[in-house]
Amino acid sequence: MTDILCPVCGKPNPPEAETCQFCQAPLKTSAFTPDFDEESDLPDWLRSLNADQNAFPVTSPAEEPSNVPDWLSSIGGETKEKEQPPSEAPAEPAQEQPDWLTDLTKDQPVEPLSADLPVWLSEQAPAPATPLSDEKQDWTDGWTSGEQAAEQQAEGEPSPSVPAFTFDAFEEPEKPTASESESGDMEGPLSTLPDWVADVTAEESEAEGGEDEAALAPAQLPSWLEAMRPAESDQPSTPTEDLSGASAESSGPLIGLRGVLSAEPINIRMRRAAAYSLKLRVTDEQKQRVALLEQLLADEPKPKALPAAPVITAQYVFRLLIALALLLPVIWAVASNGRLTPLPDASARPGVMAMYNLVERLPADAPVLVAFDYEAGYSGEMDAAASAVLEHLLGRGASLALVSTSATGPALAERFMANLNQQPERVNNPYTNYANLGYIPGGSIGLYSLAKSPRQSLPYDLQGVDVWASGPLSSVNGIADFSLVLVLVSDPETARAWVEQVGPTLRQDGAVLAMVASAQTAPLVQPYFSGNPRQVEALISGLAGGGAYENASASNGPARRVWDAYSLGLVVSVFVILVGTALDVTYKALLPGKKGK
Amino acid sequence: MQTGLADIFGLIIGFLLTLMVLSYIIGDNFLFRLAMAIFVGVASGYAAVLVIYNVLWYQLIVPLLTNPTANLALTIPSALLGIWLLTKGSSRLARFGNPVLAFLVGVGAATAVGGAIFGTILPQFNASTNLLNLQYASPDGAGLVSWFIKGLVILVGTLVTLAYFHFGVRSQGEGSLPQRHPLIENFLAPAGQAFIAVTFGVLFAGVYAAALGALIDRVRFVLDIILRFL
Amino acid sequence: MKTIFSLINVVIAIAAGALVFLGYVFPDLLGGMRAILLQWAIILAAFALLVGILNLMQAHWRKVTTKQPKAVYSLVVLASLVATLLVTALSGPAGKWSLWIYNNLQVPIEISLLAVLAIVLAYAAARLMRRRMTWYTGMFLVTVLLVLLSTAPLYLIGEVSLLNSLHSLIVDILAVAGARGLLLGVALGTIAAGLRVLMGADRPYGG
Repeated sequence: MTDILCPVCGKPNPPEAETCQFCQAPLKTSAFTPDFDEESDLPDWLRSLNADQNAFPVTSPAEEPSNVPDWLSSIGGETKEKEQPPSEAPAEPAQEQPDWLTDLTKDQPVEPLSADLPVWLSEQAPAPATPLSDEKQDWTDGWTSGEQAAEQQAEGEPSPSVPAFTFDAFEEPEKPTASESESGDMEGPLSTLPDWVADVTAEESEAEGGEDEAALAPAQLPSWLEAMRPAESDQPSTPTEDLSGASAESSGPLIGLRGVLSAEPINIRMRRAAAYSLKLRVTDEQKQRVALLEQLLADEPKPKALPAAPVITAQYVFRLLIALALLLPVIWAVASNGRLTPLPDASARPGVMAMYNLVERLPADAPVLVAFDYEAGYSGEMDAAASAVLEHLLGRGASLALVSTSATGPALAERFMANLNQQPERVNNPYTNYANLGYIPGGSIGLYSLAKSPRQSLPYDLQGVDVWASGPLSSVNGIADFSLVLVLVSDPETARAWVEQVGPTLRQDGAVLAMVASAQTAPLVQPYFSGNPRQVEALISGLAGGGAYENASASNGPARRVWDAYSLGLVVSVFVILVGTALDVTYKALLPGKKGK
Repeated sequence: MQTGLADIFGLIIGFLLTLMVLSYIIGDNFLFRLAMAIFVGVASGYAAVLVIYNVLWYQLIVPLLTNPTANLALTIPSALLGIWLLTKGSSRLARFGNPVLAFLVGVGAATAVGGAIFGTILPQFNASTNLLNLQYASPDGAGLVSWFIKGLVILVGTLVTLAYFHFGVRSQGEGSLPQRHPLIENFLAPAGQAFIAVTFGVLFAGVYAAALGALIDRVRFVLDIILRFL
Repeated sequence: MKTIFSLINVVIAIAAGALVFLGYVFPDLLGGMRAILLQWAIILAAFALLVGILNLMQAHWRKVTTKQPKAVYSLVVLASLVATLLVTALSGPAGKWSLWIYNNLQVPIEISLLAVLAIVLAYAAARLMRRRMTWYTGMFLVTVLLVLLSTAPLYLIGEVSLLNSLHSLIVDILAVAGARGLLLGVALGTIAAGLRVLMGADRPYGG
């Protein structure tokens, strides 16, 4: 079998090889190659021709077709001899060449095709190619051979036609093969071949003819062109593309070719666009998952209705029992209106006695500043605690100036005075020797301002009368001018504010500050009273202090009216707290597992 | 007669409101909350009128009208500042009233600081040192020992109570938690805590006593009404 | 710009506070200025009370107009507030009808609230040992019981000298010591808080 010439490097390869063993180029290219299959229905002569020259096969010089006429083979040998430049020694050693060939090449210069060749063969013979050494063989050879052929043709020498592109440039200077030598005979048998076969054959012949011409001196390539010479390493070692699997064109001028761009415009090939559904494709599994998610969301814990708390609980009953235990004795004591319990002894209470002595020492018509700084809720206690003191003051003829740092204080003061005047002994002789100066806003700021300038802080009373212009208060220019500053207070912070803001000014000028404090405030006012020097000269503590004052002043005030209920209530409270504590602790001890609420 | 009717009507209203509030003993209910709403409205309304009438009218407007030149330094600036402060009532304009609020806060802070120093710290410190001052003992020396013991207990109690509120700690070295001084931690603070427990007990008893007085007052009021109308 | 306004607020607070405080130290020198500033502050405190009441009305009005739950109570608040405003404005703070409203509406409610407190406190004291059983809790409870017993003569019995002595010991000695310590501590805290404001470290006025 004939070797397959590589279309890239032109080197022979075994016919069964798929890729060139030298440059790895595919031997079965996409270029149109006649699909010469041995099994194809081709004429025998053509088949035989293809078998000998597959992909421009070049048979080795050793191989000679058996049916090549001698005359043709001899011409091929001469042609080859003429192709070699005279300066180049034949590749084979002289002893290996036939004598006739050696003789031919030794002395005879390469001559162009002689007239011995038939006309048809000389026309078809390729231009003598310049025999080049292997290393100089490159892709430009075909150009140079073509150029030379052109020159020769221009000179009138018969030159073969120069193909536009041949693979001859990659071919070694080859000896004319039997197939080439048969080119001259092909015309007759080629008359039945398609034109392309004839063209290929003619090109081969032309190339060969070009090669048979006198050896041409290698062209002096310009440097830039020389630089463009691809190195052997640049040659692709692997096929750039395997187009064996590419589809062959079925229409158009490129019919049969593989891997080419379609000659047909795409729009001709357009098919009706596939209709895609706009519906979301949901698989069954996805539907199941969606259903599960919906179920989870639906079962998402909605605010579970808390179990209704039982209305009647042990603690609720316990609280009700405590309430009843307190209320019932008090109700009974109030309803009975007894006076069985003696009032507390004033002598045992220093604060009460100090207050009593202070009031007793006041001159008649002494201006007294009374501050109603307790909340209305403490009226029950404070009315009973302070009534005796104010009655004592009014009984001494003191002129009262009522003030308050609480917004409800003025009304409270009016209510207090009204209650005082509702007593049976006062119905016909009500107390009028007082002036309600109203409300001082600002808390500590107001007190400080009052301490520095009471006239400026409270220029008018609640009725809009200028009490400073005339009357008992006309002699008062500063707070120290009051004979006594009496504060009725239920809040520890208010008590402290009075002591801090007004107390220093009073002490400076020798004035006196006294307090009637609620039982919840008295413990925190006690340090001011018990210190030396005292900041609070007198202190009455709660209802018990008021009772002691009533005892000291021998008056029948509201403290007396509620004293039995008050003392009974205190005792019952102690009893209730004791019993309740014992029961609770016992309950907790008996049921250790339950936590107390 | 009208006054009598008004008084009776007022007593009835007071009676009903008392029962509505005392119903809280049974449990929180609509009547109790209604009574609270009425209380808030009445207290606010009275306070608003009192402030406008007693303070703004007589301390601001009347002086301006009667004698404007005499009180110019007091009335006009305070009136302008007060109107400026009213912007605090609007959520959009609230920030414009901050300067006036700053003035109020500054004056209030200074007043509080001055009062604390000159009204409590110095006098109470003086009183604590005078606890064992023989100048304040009984002239004839009666009960000197008890007086001395009393003074000592009060002084020690005051000091340990202050020590209990000392929470300064120091690091004891790597690997150990910061602790108070052992003297404070193991002796002074527990003693102070005991005094505080006693003081709070007295305060609690005082609050309870005041509340008991209010309870007795209400019981008397309710019984008086019932007996009056029976 | 915000920083500048903040700085102005701080300067105002510090300047006003410094003038008032120095009035304590130099009353003769700064007494007059101090009095003026205090008078301004009193007027402004009255305006501040009005702003508070106005805010209260706005809050309850918003509840009513937006039909929030339990808006009926807000309606009652507004109605009682407006009615009191009208009556008191016409009658005057010390007028008959003003005092009628005060005596028959406000006073009974406030006293009743404190009366309920008595039962609540008794219940709380009874359950105290169940919550926390420590030495200090025990001391607290014992003190409460002794003070209550010794506040007034015992019913039908009268004064008990032992109880009087105990009362004197607890109230006049032990409680005074603790109360003095508390007062000193509160005063120190007040000084610290006030100085922070006067130095601009704390700015409760929104600076």
